[in-house]
Parts: sequence; C-alpha cells; structure tokens
Amino acid sequence: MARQRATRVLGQRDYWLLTLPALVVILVSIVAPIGYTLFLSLHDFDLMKGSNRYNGIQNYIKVFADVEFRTALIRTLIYVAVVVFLDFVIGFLQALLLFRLKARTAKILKGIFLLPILLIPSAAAMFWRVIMYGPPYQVLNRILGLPQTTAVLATTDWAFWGIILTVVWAWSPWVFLLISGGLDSLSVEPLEAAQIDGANFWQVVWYHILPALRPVIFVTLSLKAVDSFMTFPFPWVMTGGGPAHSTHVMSTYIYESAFQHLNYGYGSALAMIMMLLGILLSGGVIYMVWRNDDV
Amino acid sequence: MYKLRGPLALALALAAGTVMLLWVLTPYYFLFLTALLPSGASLNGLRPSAPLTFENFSAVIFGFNRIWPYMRNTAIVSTGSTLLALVIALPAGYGLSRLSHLRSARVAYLSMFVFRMLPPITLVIPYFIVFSRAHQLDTRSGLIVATVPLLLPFAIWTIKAFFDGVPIVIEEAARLDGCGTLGTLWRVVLPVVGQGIAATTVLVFLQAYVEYMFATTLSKSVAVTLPAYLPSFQNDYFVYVGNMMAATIISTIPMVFLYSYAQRYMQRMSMAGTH
Repeated sequence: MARQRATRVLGQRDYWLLTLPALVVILVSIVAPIGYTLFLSLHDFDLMKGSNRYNGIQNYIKVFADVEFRTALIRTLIYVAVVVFLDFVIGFLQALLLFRLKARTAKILKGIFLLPILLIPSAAAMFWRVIMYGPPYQVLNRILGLPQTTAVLATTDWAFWGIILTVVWAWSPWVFLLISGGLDSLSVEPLEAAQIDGANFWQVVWYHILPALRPVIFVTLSLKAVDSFMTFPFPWVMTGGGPAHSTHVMSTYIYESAFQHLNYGYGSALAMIMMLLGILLSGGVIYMVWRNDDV
Repeated sequence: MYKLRGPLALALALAAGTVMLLWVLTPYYFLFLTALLPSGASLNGLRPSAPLTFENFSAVIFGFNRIWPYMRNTAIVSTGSTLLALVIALPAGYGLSRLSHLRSARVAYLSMFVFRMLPPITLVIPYFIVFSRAHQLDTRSGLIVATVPLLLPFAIWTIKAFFDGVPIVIEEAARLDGCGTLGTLWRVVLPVVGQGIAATTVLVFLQAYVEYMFATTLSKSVAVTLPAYLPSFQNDYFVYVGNMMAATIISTIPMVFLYSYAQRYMQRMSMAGTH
C-alpha cells in the first residue's frame, strides 16, 4: 500500500507548539506593554501635578505643537546620518588597511581596531565626558589645541558634535568588523586581474571592491542607522540632553519627559510617536534590503 | 593577498594606518593613565604627572569602592536573561525554520525583525510603572525578566537562520534510520548548528551585559548592574576619577573574551536572514 511520505519530520502542529512559547512571551512582554503605553498616552498622567485622568488625544496635539520635540527629531536624524557616514568611512578605511596585510599582522591590527567596543558603552561615554572633555583634564582640548576654558560638553554649539565624536570612536569598530568580514570573503582573482590590467588601488576599490561589497555595506549601515536612531546611553550619560536642550535626541527627550518631569502620559505619547517613526524607518530598511537583494 | 604597488601608495597606507592607530589608541592611553595615577593627579601631556600606582585598582577590588556587588548583579542579570531568552528562542527558531513554507510563519518571522527595531524607550515606561506597582523595582529577577524582550527577537531571528542551514533531508534520513525526535535533534541537527547557536548566545549575552536603559531605570541600590553603576561615579567625579577608570577597565575583561570568540561569526550573523 502506497504511503504518503511526510515532507516534514514533525507534524506542522508540533512545530507551532515549539514556536508558541516565544510568541506568547513576545505578546506578553512586548505587545502588551506597548498597548499599555498607548493607554497611558491617552491620559494626563503627571506625577508632578498629581493628575491621572483620561484626556484623549490631547497629549498628541501637544506633541505636534512641541518645538523641542521637533528639534530633537531633526537632531536625531542628523545624528543618524553623520554617525553612519563617519562609521562607514572609518570602518571601511580600517578594513581596507587590513585587507592588504599578512594574516598575523592583520590579526593584531584587527584586535587593536576593535578595542573601543570592548568598553561598556555607558562607561565609555563617562570616560569621554570626564577625561576627554571634562575639566580639569580635557584631554581632547589639549590634543586639538583648544583653549582650556572651552568645555566642549558645556558649550551649546559643540556638545552635540562631541557626543558624535565619542559614539563614532566607540562603535565604528562594529562597522569595521562587518565590512572586514565581507572583504575577507571576496575572491582575489578579479582584483589581481584588474591590477595586472593596470588599474591603480583606488580604481580597484571603486570598480571592484565597493560593488562587490554592496550587500554587506548596505545591511551593516542599515542596522547601524536603526540603532543610532534609538541611541540612548551616550547622549544621556554625557549631557542628559543639555546644555539647554541642545543635545536632546528622541530617546533622551522622551526619557526626560517621563522620568524627570514625571509626565508619564506625555512621555508615553512621545514614545508612541517615536515607535511609529521607528517602524517607518525599519520598514524602509526592510524594503530597501529586500529590493537590494533582488538587484 | 592583494599587493600595493608604488612607494606613494605605500606611504599613504602607512600614514592612514598610523592615523587609525592613533585614533584608537590615544583615548585608551589616557584611560589607562588615569586609572594608574593617584586621585587628584592632573594630566599634563603624555607623561605621568605622579608615580604610577595601582591604588585605584586596589580600591575598586579590595577597598572602599568595591566593584563586586555590581559585577555580581551584572553576571546574574546577564546570564539569567540570556538563558531565558535562549530557552525560548531555540525551539521557536527551529519551529519557524521548519514552517517557513507557510505564509503565517514567514510573517511571524519578519515581525521579529520589526520587534528588534523597537526603541527600548517605548517599553521602559510601562515596565517602570508596572514594576513600581508590583514592587518589583530594584530586583534582579525583575531586571532579568525585563531584559528578555530586548534579547528575544534578535535571538529568534538569528537562530532561525541557523536552522535554515540544516536541510530537512538530514532529519528525515535520521528518522528513517530509527532516531526518535529527540535523538534526531541531538545527534544530527545540533552538531551542525551548535557553533552558530554558541555564537548567538555570546552575542545575546553581550547585549544583556551592556544594557543601560532598563538597568538604570529599574534599579536603585540592590540590583544595580555595571552599565548603570559605572557612570554614577559622577557625583564624586572629581575625586574618584581614577577609581572609575579602574572599574571600567576591569569590567572590560569579560568583553575581551566574549568578543574574541564572537567576532568571527558577527558578519555571518548580521547577514543572517537577509538572503
């Protein structure tokens, strides 16, 4: 008697059973809290005022009128663009430097280039704040020849860029690691052929390496962009949004509203907006990665 | 490997290399210098302004500013949340991988990607309020539970991709040879994905280790972890800078081991699931 051959080892139902705990946990630990945030955002829940009453979409109306929020949003986008760009330039250069070396030297250099990410982010942020920027040490001032009287993190025009410098220093190794991995998996033949044909180094990079690395670079930078959008430890530890709100990014502004001004209702509304923007952003990322793959 | 030609190109490469080395190492130099100088010593250029001493390290390890309670908290919370996340993610990754011919399973899988991109700030407000009302603030178990949702989507996403790399025919062959369900998994599937799972575990652990937002918000004195503790020297920062730097260096040691293990897999894992 002919028997239908099972195409899967376990039944479909069994596979779903295996997946179920994860789905339940996600429902309870992620989806439900988001629902609660939504709920909170519809209330005037302010511990400073001592209020807790339903007020509909008033928090959201307030968000749209909130200039500080818009500034923080724009600042976050600038932050993402600059950080991703700088991370790429530095990471790519470092990967290229490694690409041409013998295995043992490359390994040592790789280890050195990775050093910054070994520091716990909040500790790295604190280190830069206290030693590189803060009086009385101000190592960065000394290196760049800036006057001792300029405290970078206390100056409204420069604090933001100070944070960016720190973040790029601390986390570009991640981009470097991924691009370097991509470079390692490239086949050498086309490159050597191009070299024999007379191409100089930069031509090889531009016409051969970069196109071959496009998927890796794309995914890496997309992930980095989304991570940078949500950044919190660095700006919060280094300046807490100051001086005079000049370094607020979205997460710090929301955090301040909720946990310092104790306005949980408003903070929740801000968080919902940020989540929507985040979904748009990551949706865009998913779409671009998906399209890029088909190319 | 590709060879550079011409002295100009070589000089440029050397220059670029030197710049990169300086870029990375200069802050580190000052990190170590500050950790090895006594409190209150100033930094004047590259030379130590006072004799180097280990007193900061000793203060942080044996003395009045001990790091161990916080290190213990970090170990407990990171290990606990990583294990919990792995226990949940492993079967789910396997299940989703074997169900990927179904649209519903693919949707579930893609939603992991979206959840991974969720800003933690969206979760920290409800968690704080709920924990506050349930008297779970400042508890290690609370932190463990709160950290899991931050780790889970990444874990599921990555593990599923590893299981995708095990052709179902291997399992079917093992079954035909008489292996039970558990036997198949243990003898046939696990050896193939074992390394990938191990690397995923390390990466998940690293994320838990450095987690800052939940750690600061949901803890106060008992359950404070290293990422939340280290910046808090700021109240006395002028006096205890050396200690803070020594503590930072010590807390880096686990990262060294973890990263040196995981760095080989990081590129593969970031690309996981995108093909």
